[in-house]
Amino acid sequence: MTLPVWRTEWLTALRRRRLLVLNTLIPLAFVAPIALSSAPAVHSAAAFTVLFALFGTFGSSIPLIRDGESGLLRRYVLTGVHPGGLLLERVFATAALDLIELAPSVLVIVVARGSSAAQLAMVVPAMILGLVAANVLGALTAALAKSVAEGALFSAVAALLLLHWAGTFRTPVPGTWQATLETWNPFRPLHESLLAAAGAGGPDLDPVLFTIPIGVTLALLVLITAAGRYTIGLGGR
Amino acid sequence: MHVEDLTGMENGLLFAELYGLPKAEALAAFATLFTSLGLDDALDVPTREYSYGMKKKLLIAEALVHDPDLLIMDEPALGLDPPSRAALLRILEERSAKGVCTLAATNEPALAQELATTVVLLHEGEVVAHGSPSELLAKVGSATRIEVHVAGSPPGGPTVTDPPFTGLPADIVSIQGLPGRIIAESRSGSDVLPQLISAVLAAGLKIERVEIREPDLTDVFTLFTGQALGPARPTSSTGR
Repeated sequence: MTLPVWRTEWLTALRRRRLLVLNTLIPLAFVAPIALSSAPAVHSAAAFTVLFALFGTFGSSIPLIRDGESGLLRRYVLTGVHPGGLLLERVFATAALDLIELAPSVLVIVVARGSSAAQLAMVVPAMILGLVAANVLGALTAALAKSVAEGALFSAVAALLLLHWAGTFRTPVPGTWQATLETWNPFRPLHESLLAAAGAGGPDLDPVLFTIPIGVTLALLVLITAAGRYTIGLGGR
Repeated sequence: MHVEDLTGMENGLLFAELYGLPKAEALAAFATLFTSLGLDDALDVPTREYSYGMKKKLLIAEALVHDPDLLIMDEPALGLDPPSRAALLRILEERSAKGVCTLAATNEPALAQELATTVVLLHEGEVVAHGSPSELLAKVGSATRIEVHVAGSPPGGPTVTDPPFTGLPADIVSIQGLPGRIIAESRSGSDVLPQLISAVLAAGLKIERVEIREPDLTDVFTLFTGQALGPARPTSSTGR
């Protein structure tokens, strides 16, 4: 398995060194003042989660729309490559790049807030899951958008809505339907782990927290793979 | 339609890989194609720095690298410099000689006439004529068209078909005066040119230039649609 699209995404990212540096420094410029301040963990974690989720969603959606507009995606598909496979390669490549670009920001949070090793061990898989989910969400919003501006709008609205359903902006109320919905949300582990790492204390590594969101993310990955042609905006053409 | 941050060769290898071509085979095929198309010097340059013509040549190389059984091209020669155009025609002729099919959409009748074994003329989404270039050309006859551009209007106004021009050879099957030009059709090609020029000069007109054009697919298109296919291009031109 040679994964040419995955390799192309990496090669392109490495060629765009300026963008790579900016994508690392800009989140850091946002995260560092908050992490180093005495802002309460609940507010800090919400800010970090929103930033990371939007970073992943935008980073997936906008390049997909741009490549769709330029005809590059159509060219890929005309070679006979499976649209779903193409999309999966892109989603995982951009999620991995996001993880690398956001790693210094996570490190600053962990160091500044004195997080434990167990909390860091929870942040890493939560970041991976959250960024894959954000990139899947970006791919789905790209399919609906007819321009980069629409893509940015749809991505922002969809990500913020999912973050709300993940409990990022409210105090959890156990036993409600919202609390049930939270357990399904791929952004919840990200928020919970950042909340812990930002100073709210426990939970430490809690695998149960990940089980359902991982299942939901896998289901979304299967969905975009199966509907790849439609997801990259070539449906019916 | 390329990954703009990748070089020409990297783009080529990417698409070859997507077509399922092993890298060694792709490199060998590209070596020939890039040389033929004159892209050798730009292989290590990111395609964002390519001109339109260079991108077109790269697209052609990428389309041909895996030697497809069916090649579909849209305006294949558009934007190509003359050597690259000649190289493309040679490549397509070689494919045709091997019995491999190429389907090309073009607004260039000369390209179709030169390359195609079968031409389908489309007008407003409908097929208006089809056949081999020679079959289609037979429909407009074989008379050579000679246009004599003159200063002012020829005598007799725009619909003259008979003398005031005198001494015209019998091989001129028709002659028509239009504002600024006289159009004659000849059965014997340009052999009639001296007598025709003499007749025009004898009529007191000043010749600006002469165009001689063999019938081509533009004339076939005009015959079937009543509309010109862009400006007519002379195959040769002389002036005084």
